[in-house]
Amino acid sequence: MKRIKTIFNILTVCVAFLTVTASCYDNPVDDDGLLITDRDECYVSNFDLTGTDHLTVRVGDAIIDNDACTIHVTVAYGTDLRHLYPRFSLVTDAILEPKVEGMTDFSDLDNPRQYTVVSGSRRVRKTYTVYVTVQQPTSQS
Amino acid sequence: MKKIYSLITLVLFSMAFTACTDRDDNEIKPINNKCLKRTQGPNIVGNDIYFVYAMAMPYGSGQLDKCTVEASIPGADGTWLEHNSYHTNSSGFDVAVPVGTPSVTDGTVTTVTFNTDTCAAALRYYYRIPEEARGKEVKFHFTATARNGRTVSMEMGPYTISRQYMARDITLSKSRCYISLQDMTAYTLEEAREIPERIDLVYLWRNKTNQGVEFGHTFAAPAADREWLDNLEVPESMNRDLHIRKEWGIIDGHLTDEPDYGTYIDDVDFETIQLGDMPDYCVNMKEKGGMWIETADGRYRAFIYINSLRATSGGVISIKRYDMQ
Repeated sequence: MKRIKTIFNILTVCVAFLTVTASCYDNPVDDDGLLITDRDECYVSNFDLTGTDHLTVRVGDAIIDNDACTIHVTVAYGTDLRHLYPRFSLVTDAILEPKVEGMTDFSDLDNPRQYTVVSGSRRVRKTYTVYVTVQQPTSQS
Repeated sequence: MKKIYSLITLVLFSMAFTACTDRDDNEIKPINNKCLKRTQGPNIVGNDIYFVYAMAMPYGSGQLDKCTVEASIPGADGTWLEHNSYHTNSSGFDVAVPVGTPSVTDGTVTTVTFNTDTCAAALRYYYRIPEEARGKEVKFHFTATARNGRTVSMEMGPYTISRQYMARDITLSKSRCYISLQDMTAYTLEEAREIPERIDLVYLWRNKTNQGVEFGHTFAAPAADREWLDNLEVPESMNRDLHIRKEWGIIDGHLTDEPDYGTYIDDVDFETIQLGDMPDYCVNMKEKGGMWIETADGRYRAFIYINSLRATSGGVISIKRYDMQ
């Protein structure tokens, strides 16, 4: 009986050890603790800009060209371009570099901001350029 | 082994009995009291701090004689202790029962004398925060006295009184659109011409949908680019500048009558917010939105809540201001 108990205990420890090590190898994570998967898809599916009030400043849809890696977005008249939150929707498991960590200055229209999308596998990288246009009043007819 | 079990059992029993003797919540005292502070948020000068003070004696042991509240700083006019006790009826409404003579305030002390035979009451105390308490701490000493001479009392506080200034329901219109944070009001052009150095902000409404943009209800510094003042008459002497941060969803419980908003802008919010690089205008503001403001000279920070806006020019705003210097 004592022998069976000992064997059972050893088996339990082995199974636990295998579970932990296997899970580590199956689910590698990056420095941020995000899963590195085998997905190579790499694109932006949606984009928005919000103001300090966390409401969108976008006028119409953002035009995302995943071949040219450009995003064209028009923002409302009077928008303060120095304090905007960019909001990206990415394909599953992809990440963004640099991370969006707060309000971002988009006011330098001659040097549009660039963000790199990295696939879930971390093997594919695409750098997108965000072009912002401020809506202007048309002359009265 | 058996001895160890017996010992553990003995120790557990001893602990249980000792614990029971330490608790005195149910001890019947000759006279007892409890107090609740009912108001939430920062304590603003001109507003009330509202308490409910309950006092009771065992039934048959005597009647209450008087109730006094002593504030460490005398309350402003409007400080009073209600001479009604309340119970809640079956519909959930509070029903007042007069139990004493109307309260008398003498300096820091407010007193209600009971004129009914009662051994229990819960009186409501409203302390109107005076100007002299701004930025200080205030505390309260509640005392209940029975006709047999027994007394019980308790301290509440100290409570810090906010340094904020507040003005509610300031009406804006096409003509009354020159806003002073110093005076916490809005002026007409004629009035504003007399005090241009006190005008921090102007309001205007423009319909530019035929030009393909939304301008709507706009606020701007008198010194802002003319594009944002859009032909509004701003005399040259009116040249103050400021920084504005547009907000949505900050509904301060003091600035709105809408129920159940338990959120408040406190002094620390004004002290910590960074507004230095914000623009001096914000266009197309919406009802129930707001603005953080800092004057360019750093003298004031403020939050303006937009209570309501008309479809065309006009609306109602409320302001909280914090003096930085």
